[in-house]
Amino acid sequence: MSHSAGAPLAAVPRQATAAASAKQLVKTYGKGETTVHALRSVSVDFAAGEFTAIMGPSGSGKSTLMHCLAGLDTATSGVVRIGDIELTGLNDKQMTKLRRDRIGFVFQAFNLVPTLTARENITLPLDIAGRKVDKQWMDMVVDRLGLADRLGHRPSELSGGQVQRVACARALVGRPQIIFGDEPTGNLDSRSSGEVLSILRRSVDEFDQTVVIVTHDPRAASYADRVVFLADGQIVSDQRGLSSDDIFEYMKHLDEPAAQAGPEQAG
Amino acid sequence: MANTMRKVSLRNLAAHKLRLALTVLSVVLGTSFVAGSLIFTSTISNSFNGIFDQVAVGVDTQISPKSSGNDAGGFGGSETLGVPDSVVRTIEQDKAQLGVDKIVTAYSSTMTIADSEGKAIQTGGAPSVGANWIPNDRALDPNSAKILPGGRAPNGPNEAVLNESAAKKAKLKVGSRTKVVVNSGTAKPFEVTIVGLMDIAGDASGYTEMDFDTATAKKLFSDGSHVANVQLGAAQGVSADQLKQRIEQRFPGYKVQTGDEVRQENKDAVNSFLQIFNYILLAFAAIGLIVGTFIIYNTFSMIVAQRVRELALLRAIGAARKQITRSVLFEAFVVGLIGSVIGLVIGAGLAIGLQQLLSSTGSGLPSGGLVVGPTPIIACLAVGIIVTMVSAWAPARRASKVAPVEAMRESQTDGAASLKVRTLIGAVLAVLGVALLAIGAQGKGGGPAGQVGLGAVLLILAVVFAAPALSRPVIGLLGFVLAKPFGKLGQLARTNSMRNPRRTAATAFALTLGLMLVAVIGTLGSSFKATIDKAVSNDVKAPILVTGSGGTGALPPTVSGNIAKVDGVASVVSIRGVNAKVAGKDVSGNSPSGDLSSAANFHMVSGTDRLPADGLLVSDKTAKQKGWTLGKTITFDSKFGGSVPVKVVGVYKSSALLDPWQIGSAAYEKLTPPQLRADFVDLVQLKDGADSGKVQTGIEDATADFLTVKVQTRAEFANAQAATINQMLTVLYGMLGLALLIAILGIINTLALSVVERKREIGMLRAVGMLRKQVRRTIYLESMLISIFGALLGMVIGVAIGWCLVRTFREWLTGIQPEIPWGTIAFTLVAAAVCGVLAALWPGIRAARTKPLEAIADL
Repeated sequence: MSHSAGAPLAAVPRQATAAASAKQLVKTYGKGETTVHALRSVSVDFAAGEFTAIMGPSGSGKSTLMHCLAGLDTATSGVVRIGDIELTGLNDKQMTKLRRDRIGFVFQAFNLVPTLTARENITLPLDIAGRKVDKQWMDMVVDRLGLADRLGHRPSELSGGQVQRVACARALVGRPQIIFGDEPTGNLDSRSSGEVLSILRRSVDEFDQTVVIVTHDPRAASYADRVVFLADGQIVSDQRGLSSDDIFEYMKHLDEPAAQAGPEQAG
Repeated sequence: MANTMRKVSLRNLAAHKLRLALTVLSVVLGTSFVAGSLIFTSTISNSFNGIFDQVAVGVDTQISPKSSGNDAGGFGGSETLGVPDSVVRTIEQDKAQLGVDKIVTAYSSTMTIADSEGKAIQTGGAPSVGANWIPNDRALDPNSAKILPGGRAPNGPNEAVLNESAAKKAKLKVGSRTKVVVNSGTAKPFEVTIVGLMDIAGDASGYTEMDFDTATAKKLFSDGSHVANVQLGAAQGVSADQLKQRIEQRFPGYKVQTGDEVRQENKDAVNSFLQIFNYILLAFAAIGLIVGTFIIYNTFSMIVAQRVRELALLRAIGAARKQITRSVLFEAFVVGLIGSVIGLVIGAGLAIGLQQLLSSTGSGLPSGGLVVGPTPIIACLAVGIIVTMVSAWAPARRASKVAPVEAMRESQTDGAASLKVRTLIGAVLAVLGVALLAIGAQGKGGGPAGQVGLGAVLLILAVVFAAPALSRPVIGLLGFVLAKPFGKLGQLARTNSMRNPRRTAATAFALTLGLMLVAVIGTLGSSFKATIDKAVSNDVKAPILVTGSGGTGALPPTVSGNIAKVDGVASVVSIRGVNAKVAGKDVSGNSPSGDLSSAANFHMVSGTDRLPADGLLVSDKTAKQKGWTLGKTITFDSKFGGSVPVKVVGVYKSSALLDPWQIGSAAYEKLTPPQLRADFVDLVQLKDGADSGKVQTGIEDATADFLTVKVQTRAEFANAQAATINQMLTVLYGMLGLALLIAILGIINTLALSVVERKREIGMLRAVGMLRKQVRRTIYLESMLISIFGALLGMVIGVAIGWCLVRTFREWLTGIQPEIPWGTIAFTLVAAAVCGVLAALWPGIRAARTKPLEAIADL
């Protein structure tokens, strides 16, 4: 994939396996006594072809971490990389092009432009980039996501689950380096949630896509290969192969004021 | 709760300062014109009144000729010779019996005076007159006029005094020599020496008065047996009213007035002239307010839409529907109040500016202190507040209908309500309007023009109702054509502008209304121009036309003699205006001095085109209207005694220049005394092989002494006529400027608010990779599409109205044909597109600044 962002590339060779990484990421809001530390020196790598869930209680900094990783927000200090591009120092135009060309997004709400059809929404990032749509790939994605008969519909004519699936299709069609989901199932019932999550799961398994989602739902996180727990702006645990019960238990534990160590049991 | 609701309203206004500013601005635009026009006219009329209070002081009774009420026909200006000397003599004899103390006789006429550079003094519409100097000891009011120190009273045929303001303007001093021309009668241009400057009561900028001694003035301005008017001072113990009564009884058939009445007449004349100004300015105000109404309505609709949740919350915690309505209306009241107060201040500034502009162009308006009476204040506040509250009424009602449960729901702000009813009403109105236009266009004259006017009003209303429904297909199509090259951005812009048809239509309406006026005016203008071009090239044979450029447009009859002597001139035919009576009715037509058929083209219906000196040629239209058929003898009665029978020798096809009739020279001379003769135009024929350019220069040199003579080729003449029309239309084009300005503000307002409304969507687009410049471009395109939609609608309707209106003008201007002003249309559409983009600049920049996170962040 070309990086038309024209970013100043890091000269240091990097391990090719990380699709995205954060190093000593710090994000603070406000000054003086009212300073809020959203992220306190967070370092994390996301390997290519892996499905990661970021979890944590409200105010833990999980959304901030994702926003900084996805180029939606800038960190106070620290380094963020998408593939081999360092985000620090990118201007708005370069950052926008990076998001457009290398990142796919699935938001909780307001995913689609209401005046465009599902098909037009799916190809929107490619269209505004002036890139050609890979017809075969698009057909396959649409087919796998069960949207073939919905392409001509407007968002207002789609169900909540369908809207989120269209958003997934939009993210997948550009073959981004990484897909970020911000509570992608937050507004859905459990059946639709399951559909959307298995789409993301399959995109990792079948298309070798990298996916990172932020969620507070243990069931959603259980679809992931790896779960990163945040509390009070720090990573408190980083585990693989957890079941939703494990996650639920750990989250309960995290919510307790004296939460210290992570769960002892392994996968 | 009432207090709480008011607090909510006020807090809301304070919280959205930008929105407040934009809404207030739309109120300001309308109200400032209301205030400005009222303040301007009251100020001007006040200073005029002040001036006229000094006029005719000491006059107890004035005798002047009765005007026939038909001043328009005479190209030479005055239609009467004045008051006969016999009247003056009688008063002189019966002085004691009538109770007269002093008698002052005035001689006067319009005249042109050259400035220090030898060019005519431009009075900007104010009179330029010559009169007799009345020494202070003989004047009724010793203070009415004074010779300034350093000068003296005029004495002899080549001495004159000039009023101070005119002298200053013309850069003439005591001792200067300058050329003067009396505009009618037989006098030739001559030179005078200025021997003094006058300080006269009622001197205003532009007004020009040159006084001679009485003997000279009598020779110049009268036929020797008349005076312009007689002013009398009453003897002690006789009141002005008594004297007036006695004079009236003694001399019936003259206009007899007291000094108060003379002053009042002057004031009334000025006020009725100012009334025209007032109407024009109030028309501006009306357009401002009508268009403003739509902007205010739009703004409040959007504010209510954005506040659905908040209003629902208020409802949920127990606010009554009435309270919600009242709270929105209270907001409107505050906006209206602020807007009107600012409008009042700006209006006063506008009045000052207008006054200075007019006095700097020397239009003869006096300058005086600003007069702000209670009328402008009350009118401005009332109009501003009422218009704002009326515009906010529908949104306020809608606000009250918000169900409490909506507080919990995602807000749906798209205008989803059905357009069916209003579209149906619009369609019915449109059909009626078009039918009226079509019927009106079949006829000619005032009635059909009225039908066209009514049809136009119906069409405007139809637009108000049906434009939302119309906007979808039209913008869809426009967008398809214009936005195609912009790919996805174009598509987004197109769909965005079709998203809320009500809002789009209300935004575009400002442009529609303003540009509709432009199209009507443009169509009238181009039709007139085409008609005149055609008439001049078809009807006029003479290659050179000589006209007067002074205030009255009259040409002294002696000019043609000078032209005839120029090398290369074969013949000169002067066209003179004729006013007379036939069977007791006023008639006016023309009289050529020579063989008109050599200088103009008659298309004869019957008879001959050779006009004998005691004959009459009439157009077929006149023949039909008045029954002056071929061979009939018509008796013309002079207004100055005597009558002339003339025989109709030919009937020609009616044309714009030759209507309504041409009478022979001998008859003309019997009907019009020499003192009142003036030419309207001299048609010049060239000798074979003569060089037109050289002859033109020759004529210019030969007539330079007359100061106001214009020598033009046929094409130049036609263009000059068209230019006059264009000048008149310029005022109306001012409305275009205003409408465009308001339209831009309206578009800015609507776009700024809809950008706020679409913040999340724009944030999402930014998140998935839309560049800032792409966001901006989308907004520009959206605005451009809305603007072009509005402009297109206005153009189509305006041209249709103009076209039909021109058809009805056939009654007054023979041969007029509608001509569509394609150039104006193209220019206007491009201008509308540019305005659209300009209006979108700031909202576009704001939209582009939207942070991608705003799509995700919980609001």
